[in-house]
Amino acid sequence: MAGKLALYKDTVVSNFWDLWDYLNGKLTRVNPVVLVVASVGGTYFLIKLRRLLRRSDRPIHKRLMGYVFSWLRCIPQVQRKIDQELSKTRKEVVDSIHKYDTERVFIKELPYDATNTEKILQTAKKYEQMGTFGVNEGRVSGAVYTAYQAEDHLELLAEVFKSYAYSNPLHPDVFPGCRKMEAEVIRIVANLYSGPPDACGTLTTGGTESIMLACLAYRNRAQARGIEEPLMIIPVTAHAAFDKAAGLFNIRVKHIPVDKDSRVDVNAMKRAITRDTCMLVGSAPNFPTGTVDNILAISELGRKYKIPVHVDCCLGGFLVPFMMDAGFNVPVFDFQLPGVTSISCDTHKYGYAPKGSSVILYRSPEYLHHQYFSITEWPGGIYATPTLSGSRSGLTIALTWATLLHFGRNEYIERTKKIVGAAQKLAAAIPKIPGLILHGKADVSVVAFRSEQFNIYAVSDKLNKLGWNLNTLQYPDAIHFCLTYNQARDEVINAFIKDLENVCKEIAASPKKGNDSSTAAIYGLAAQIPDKTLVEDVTHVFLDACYAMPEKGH
Amino acid sequence: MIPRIDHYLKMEIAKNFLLLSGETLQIFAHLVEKQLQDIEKSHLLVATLFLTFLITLFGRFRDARKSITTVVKDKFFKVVRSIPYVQKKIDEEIEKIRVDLSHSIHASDNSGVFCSKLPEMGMKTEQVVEMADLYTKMESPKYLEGRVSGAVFSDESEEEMKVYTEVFKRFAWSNPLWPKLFPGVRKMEAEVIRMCCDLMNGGEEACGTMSTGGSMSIILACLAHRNRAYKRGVTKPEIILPSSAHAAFYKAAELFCMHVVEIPVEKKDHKVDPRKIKKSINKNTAMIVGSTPNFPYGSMDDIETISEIAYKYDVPLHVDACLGGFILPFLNASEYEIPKFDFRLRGVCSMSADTHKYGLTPKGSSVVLYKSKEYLHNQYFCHTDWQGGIYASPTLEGSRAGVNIALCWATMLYHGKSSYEQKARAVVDTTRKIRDGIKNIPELKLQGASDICIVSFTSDKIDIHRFQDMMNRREWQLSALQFPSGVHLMVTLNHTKEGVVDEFLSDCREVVKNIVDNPSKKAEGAAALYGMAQKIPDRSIVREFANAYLDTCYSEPPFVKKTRLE
Repeated sequence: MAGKLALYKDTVVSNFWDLWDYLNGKLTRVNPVVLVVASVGGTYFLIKLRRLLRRSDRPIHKRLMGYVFSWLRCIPQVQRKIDQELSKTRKEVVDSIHKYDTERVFIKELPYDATNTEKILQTAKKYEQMGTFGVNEGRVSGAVYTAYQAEDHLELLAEVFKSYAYSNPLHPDVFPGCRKMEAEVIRIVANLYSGPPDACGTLTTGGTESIMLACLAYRNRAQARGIEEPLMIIPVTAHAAFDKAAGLFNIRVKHIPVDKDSRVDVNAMKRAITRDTCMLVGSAPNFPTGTVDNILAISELGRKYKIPVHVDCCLGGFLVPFMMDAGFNVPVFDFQLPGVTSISCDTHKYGYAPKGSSVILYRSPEYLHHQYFSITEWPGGIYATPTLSGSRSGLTIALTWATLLHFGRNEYIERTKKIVGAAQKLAAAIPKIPGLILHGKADVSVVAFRSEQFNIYAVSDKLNKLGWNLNTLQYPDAIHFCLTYNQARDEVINAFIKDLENVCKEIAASPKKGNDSSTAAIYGLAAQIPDKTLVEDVTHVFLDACYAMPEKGH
Repeated sequence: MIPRIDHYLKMEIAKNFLLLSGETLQIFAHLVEKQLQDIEKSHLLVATLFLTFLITLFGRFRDARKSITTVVKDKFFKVVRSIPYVQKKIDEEIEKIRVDLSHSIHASDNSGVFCSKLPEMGMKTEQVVEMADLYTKMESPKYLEGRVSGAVFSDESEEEMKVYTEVFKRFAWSNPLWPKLFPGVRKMEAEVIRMCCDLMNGGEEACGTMSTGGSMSIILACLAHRNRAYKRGVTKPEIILPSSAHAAFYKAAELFCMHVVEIPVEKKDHKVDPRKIKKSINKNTAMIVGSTPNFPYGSMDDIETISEIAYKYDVPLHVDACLGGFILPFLNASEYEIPKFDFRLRGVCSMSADTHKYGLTPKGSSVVLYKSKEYLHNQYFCHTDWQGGIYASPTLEGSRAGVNIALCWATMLYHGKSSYEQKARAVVDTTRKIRDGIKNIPELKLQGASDICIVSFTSDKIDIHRFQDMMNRREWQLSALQFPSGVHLMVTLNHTKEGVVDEFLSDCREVVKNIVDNPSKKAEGAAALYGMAQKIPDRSIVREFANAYLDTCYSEPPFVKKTRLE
């Protein structure tokens, strides 16, 4: 044995010196200056290239194409053409956003005198009624999750508003009440998700903030462990907030494809794990198709490789914990799985609290502490905050707290029965409509569908004209209906199925198969342009239009 | 007169210069070649590669957002803490503090209730309201009577609350993420932004967004300027920050991987010296910050001079007017000696102003404004390839509480310029009155001008922590400052009420006298903790105090009997 080892050693050593001599021979004729410059330059180039490659997981050819296109924009003619197109788009976008504003009166200066109470309330009423979609009639996908303006609930909230409008948990000594309410909400939600006694978390302003905070905590944790360029591994179906967090906090992202059921490919996820990985993500359910990922498998991966696992329950946060009791099948997705280290859950969706509240939970304070921010040397005092905000609206906390207590477990179960029941009914009807295919598994409350025979965006546009407001998806082209309590009635689902059938029939019969609809045009164009900054410009046009003053008259 | 050099001559000079530098390079290369000739090539190769590797490593070390002394210090304390005996001692201390904190946080909670589970059956409206009222009653320092520094800026008048309650009912469910579903709330935000731009003298081009608070506005501005720097090829963006700037800037720097170049404020007036800012500008500078006024000392930085520097070096200047945003524009500039601080100055590229402070709206709203869209666009987020559709959002949130926007809109209309003017005058007059009163107490020493909305002071003669502690016992809640130790009072509308100033000053005098008479006693409670915390060299321990404090805020009270009210 020892002899064999010695032999190995000898061959390795002699081979090394052979190689050394060979290298020397090859290099004798090279000018030493060139050698030095080339090796320094080469290393520098390699480092830059590696950094460039690691920055994004978009395929190289697509990035190159985007790069070429962005250079093309430097040509004045091309830029002029683009500007022309953009200004055309701008006009359309501005029109589409401002069309609800029929009066076109815009307050652009603070009035000198106080406006009288009547006038304020009148204007507020006018503004409120600018919206034309029938939210109460169940015409809108997502957005408002409970009966809009339900008297009883709203009265309660208004009462709470009166005492908590100015409260602020940044000063727990001044506002001990809303501090306690937040602590209670966290405990209540942690218990819903089978949190261990150590489970902890914070209330945030929405699902996006909850997700970003989890990413932040895991980034900081990774950095504390010496990982300089942390990587997060997320399904392509994960919420856009993960990519937002990645951009904000300088975390690299690896997107994992999904299988035909729209569940993340766990094997691909396993292959993507590197020693830089700071978190794995699964959704229960995801936003695009409403499908629940295989959280069990992801949890096992996390446990095996000692990587934190975040489960995004933002959307279905107050449905999935009640599904068992409501009589539906749902695989385990919460802290019962030992690998799951954090969960985000929106109280302002199916928790029926007013907008502006969500919860981020961690298995133990070890993770939460990486989310906390504190600065110990600030002249303004030792400053510590649990979330991204400094001052926070204590009102949102109080409203969430009141809503949870007011509804109680039973009401949540009842509503879950109705909503998931309605979703299953709609999901069963989709394949029966000629041309439509169910996209994903519609495991909870979102029903997504697509078509191989006609352009699905045209369906969305036509339904929009009939007063239905759906969400558009891409890669592949699809649309979805996120069912809320407002749709959890047979008459709404039946009316929708009927309209959907008619619209599909009409489009299938049309010669262009719906490819000429306006949404189809936007998405079609966006998918074709390799230079994503151009699409970004269009979204900037959209956001700017939201803040723009209306043009006078039509 | 400089002789005019014609085009030909210029070309000739350039050509000669190029030739000359080319020759120099050649000579240099030749020299190096001679030196290197005798070295074995493979050695040379390995040596160069190794050296390059070392340099990149060192570069990375330098990039780490800490100075070398901090890195060494942190390492040292880490090693010390790894000694079991030391660790045990520290853990004991932290545990003691945790118990203290828990006691003080839960002190006001005598309800004996803690809801840890969703009730099986929903509670009736009256029950919930009753319980909410019980929790409200826990509030002890009476902020409406002017006993608290900052925190609540409005006097919550009854008529005002009536309007807000109605507006609340209409917009509780609204969400500007869907501008087509909630066109009204979208318009309200646009109007609030336009009104604020007008207040800050931004032209037609000025723009911005609302946010959930001052920290968020500051964070957004830092994000926008960081992204702008990234676009310009800067890889390690830096913020030039006066040491008096708000903690949110340090937070933003940590979140967005920026490096803070801290400029200590001048001892004499607690303002930043613009010359020091100028010296710190380099190619990595992404933004400069000035405050009007700053949080610790209430003094206004010299924005006019800083603006010129920022303009000259093409670096965006952010003016943090979170505090002064709804005071300064309403004051008569010459009467109150207010220098220019807003978009009238050409270097000012962004501003933050809190509507929920002196704008008097309910908590949860602030604005961040930019000189023009090109800056704002760097704040926008968009994800063009998301499966859930092309996704764009103006701020950090996705869904946002439309109700905060509607309330802010209603508050601004409710008050109007005239009411804000009157209130701004009242706040500033009160501040100056308190300042003059403090000046007359020889044991106390003012820090900074204290002439807008904050009176900040310290003492060389008495223990200021004990002062704070004793004022606290008299139900005056002041904010603690550190490095150096001090306290400040942020004046709100509630302090402008009759008698508050006199009572405050007379209590100050009595407390000071009391301390002078009994010099040996020590401070207790939170104030004492502050004094101690400043002396700890290992800041990671103080960070653990902070963590313990936040954890306690979320903990169950130690004496729970019931999980719901009977």
